[in-house]
Amino acid sequence: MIKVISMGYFFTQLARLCETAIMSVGAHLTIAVSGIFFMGIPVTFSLAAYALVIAQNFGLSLVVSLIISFSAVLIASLIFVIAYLKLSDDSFTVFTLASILAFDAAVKSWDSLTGGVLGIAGISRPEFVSTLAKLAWFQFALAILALAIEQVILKTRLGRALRAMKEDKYLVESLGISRRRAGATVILISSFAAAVSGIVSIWRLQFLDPSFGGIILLIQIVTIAIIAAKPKVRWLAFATLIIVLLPEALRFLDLPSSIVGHLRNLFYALILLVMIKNISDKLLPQKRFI
Amino acid sequence: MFFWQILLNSLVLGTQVLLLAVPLYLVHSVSRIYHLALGASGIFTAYALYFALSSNWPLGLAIIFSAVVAIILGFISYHLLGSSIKKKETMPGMLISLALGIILESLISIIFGTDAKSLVSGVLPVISWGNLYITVPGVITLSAGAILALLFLVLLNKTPWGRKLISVAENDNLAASLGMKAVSVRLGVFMLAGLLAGFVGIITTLNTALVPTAGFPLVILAFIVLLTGGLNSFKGVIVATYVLTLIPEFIIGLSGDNWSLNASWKMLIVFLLATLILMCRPNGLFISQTRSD
Repeated sequence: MIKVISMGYFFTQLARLCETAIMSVGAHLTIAVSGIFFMGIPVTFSLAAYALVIAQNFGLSLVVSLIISFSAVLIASLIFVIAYLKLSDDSFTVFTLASILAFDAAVKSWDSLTGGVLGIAGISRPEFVSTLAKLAWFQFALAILALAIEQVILKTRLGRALRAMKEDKYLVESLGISRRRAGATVILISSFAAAVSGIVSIWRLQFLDPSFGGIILLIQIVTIAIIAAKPKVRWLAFATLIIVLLPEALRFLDLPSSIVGHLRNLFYALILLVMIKNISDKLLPQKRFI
Repeated sequence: MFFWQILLNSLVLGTQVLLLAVPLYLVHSVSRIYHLALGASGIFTAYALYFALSSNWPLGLAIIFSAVVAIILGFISYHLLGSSIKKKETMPGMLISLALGIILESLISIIFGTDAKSLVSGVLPVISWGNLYITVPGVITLSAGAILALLFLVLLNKTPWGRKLISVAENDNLAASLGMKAVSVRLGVFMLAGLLAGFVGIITTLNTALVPTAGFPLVILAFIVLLTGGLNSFKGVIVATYVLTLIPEFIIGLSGDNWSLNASWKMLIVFLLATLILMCRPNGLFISQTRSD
């Protein structure tokens, strides 16, 4: 049975697309551009949303809540930076993966603050994005801004350093570029991009529970970063469009609602697997023959 | 007595983690890849057993069926990761493994649903000793853990098979030039790892419940243990397993009424402990220096 596409559906999809694009900027800069397999993006995505909502529930204003939220994200991202500086590449990836489970455990356990598995309902939107249409256009503007910032970063000294790091992380040091500083900077940028995405996502959903973020979100953004293997913003935009909108086709098929979500996860994982099997040479350019 | 009961429960949990850390260690040794799909592979095997038992197959046939499924999953994993192993691309290999894990979890959820299932109907049989209680799967876990840890220590360090495995792990080209079949060694390790992960999946879900997502937390816990113990130190892995499972269990078990913690805090405590250890000793508790490639 084909469902009728309403304006509400259009704005929801536009908002989803923009949220994912903002978050994917971070994943693209870390995974695809610099070759740093930073998997903690869902943590900063959820942490920003939880910190904002909890602060507002304590009666704080939006501006103060936003400051608290970004401060929490800064602390978490500094922990990731320290881990990046101390651990080997593989260990850093596993550490950041484990942080997703640790954050999930904290959210589920600290139910007096986070609402536990039941979550927090009735989250109000700020006045300037009071309707879904306003929110979607606001997110659209943010997504354009995020992509423009990435475009600028890629053209700057930092962007070149990140691309060079992926080519050869040891040689880049001998050219006088601090791999540690560039890596730390891109992890911070990635964390804050995810935080902005988390905040605008929660304004759309108006409900927050432990399923917000997590491994499935990670698979989605890693797939986007892998598809957009080249350090070009248009590739990222294209990959986001494909990955967000293609599984929507499942909605229009007459499938039981209980399996649609799992089919979408299966789709993301299959795409990720196929893409890595086929483009791993682009992921590791030092193996190219020039 | 309460102290001893917590100790006993922690030992069972620690041994479950150790049993999964062993195949992860073996796979990492021969491929340098963090095989994240092993947890999901173990749970998939447990679901295969559940399917056979709920279809009223005889127990022996059900066990053989689940063992075959586990070995096939090991075989599939090896073939998916084969090119990454050959090219020594550890990060893409890890992502392939993660994707395989999500595929297995999604397939389980689609076929069996996400509601919790049980391999054994009714109450689990319990063995009591004074005021101490332990379930029969708990006893099997402890016994299997002790036997396997000892067996692998001996196998890795004292037998030709262990030397072959270590030589493939160190330099596969050199091992091949000396007449060893690196591909066969790796394939054997992947299938053995699949079998062990299947055993862990069944034992773990006997003690708790069968849910599609049970594998990922278990495999991440096992990886934390591997990193904390030191990736090249099997003894370190054993010690780290029990340190990282005993301390959170005691913190939770002995937390007072004013600041009571429940079991769901465990993962966070393990993560914080591991973070603390890794910040001080990035190569793990028992490795002071590592060779650079």
